[in-house]
Amino acid sequence: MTAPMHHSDDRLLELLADRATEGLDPAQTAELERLLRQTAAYSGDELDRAAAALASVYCSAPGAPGAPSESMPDGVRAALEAQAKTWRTGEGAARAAGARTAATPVFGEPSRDPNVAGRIGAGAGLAWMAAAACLMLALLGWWPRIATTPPELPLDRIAALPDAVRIAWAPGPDETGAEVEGEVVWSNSAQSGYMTFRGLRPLDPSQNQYQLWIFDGSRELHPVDGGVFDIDPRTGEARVRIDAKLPVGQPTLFAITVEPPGGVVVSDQTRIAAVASPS
Amino acid sequence: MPTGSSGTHQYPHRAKRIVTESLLQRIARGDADAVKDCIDRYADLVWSIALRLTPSRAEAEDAVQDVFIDLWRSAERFDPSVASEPTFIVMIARRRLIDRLRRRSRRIQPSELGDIDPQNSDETPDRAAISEDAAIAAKALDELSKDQQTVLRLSIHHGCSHSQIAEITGMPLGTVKTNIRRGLIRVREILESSRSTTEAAS
Repeated sequence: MTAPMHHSDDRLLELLADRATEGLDPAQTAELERLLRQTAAYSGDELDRAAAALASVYCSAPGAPGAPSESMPDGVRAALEAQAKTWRTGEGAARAAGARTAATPVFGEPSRDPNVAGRIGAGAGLAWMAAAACLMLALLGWWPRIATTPPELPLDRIAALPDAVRIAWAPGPDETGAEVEGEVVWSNSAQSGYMTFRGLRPLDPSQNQYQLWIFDGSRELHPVDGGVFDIDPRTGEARVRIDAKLPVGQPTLFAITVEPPGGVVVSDQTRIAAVASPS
Repeated sequence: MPTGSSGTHQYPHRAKRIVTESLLQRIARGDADAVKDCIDRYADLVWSIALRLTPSRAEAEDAVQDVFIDLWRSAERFDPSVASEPTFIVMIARRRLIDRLRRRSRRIQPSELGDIDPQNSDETPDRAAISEDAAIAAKALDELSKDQQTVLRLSIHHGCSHSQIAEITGMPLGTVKTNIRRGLIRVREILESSRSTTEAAS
């Protein structure tokens, strides 16, 4: 049985209540972890569970927006099921084999919870590719195919195509792109393009890589993964072919994010280094 | 939401009996089918929570993918002696969604929620259609003061920040926080007490 909460633990309870209802900033999280280490009376989940039970109560209110009577859209469910397949053949299979997965890289975005902080790494290339492949197959299942992937064009010829657009990079909020210059060149008819960069800060590829995302006005879910790349630390420049994992219908924004090595399937977009927006 | 005797629940709108016991434990053991079952059973619940805690449906669509990955990874932490499976699922989902909201520095605006009546008590649950923990929590709500009920509903149901609740209700921010904290503590105490009673009886 869990010990009763004593109101003398005011600061700890304040932090637990804040976390359960609107989250904590990193300093508050560190303070909470320190306070929890000093007491055995709390697991730390107590008020989260209370809030969860109340959330279930409210969601059951008749006619409430978001009540369970509103089913998850079919497209979202299909993407989840594709994700589940990847899980079963990747991390889930590792669990079944008894392998602990704390260091097993998988897709997704980072978590503050060290128990669920697995990320993509060099050793997980196959798992990541499987994830991307499954997701791609699932997405293509319900999104109309826009174009068949054409043969790879030499980069120099892409810019000469009649529908090719050239868009200059602008710095994103992340400091790595503060001095970025260059452009993205994209042809929708060829479904091909490339990017040039100067001033984009080189990263340690063992820690992070840049990843391109193509926001597509014809899609409702995630932006299209355009591939990962590095900046040559000797020259500070790069020319990179765009490796769109899905057909792009109506590009509305090209964005460069900083991600773990190998990239992610779904970016949390917390580190956006550069953007290029067709006007 | 489910109802029923221990370990089993029934969704009236689906008119079928669902055994909720140990699904997360099956995932933790690496049972491949359980991952798909988890989606079948909880997709709508997670979706409903995501709609409350994301500023748009597009965000919700992204967020549920993250939530389920977290659920699968967190499955081994599920302890049925501490919480019901739906409560654990909602807890993990809420944490993930609140994290996303904070990272994006983008709270849901009250204007996006339509008209909020802070005193509206019509959003009372259909108690025949919720899980055991939620049923206990619903009863616990009745024991809270009106102010505590109001701030908890605005925070947990409408996704309002504490500052937004202060604006909506006219309460000082400190009072909002105190009411939220005391309300959650009381609900938690009642949940624990009920669980202890059930364990003692079994």
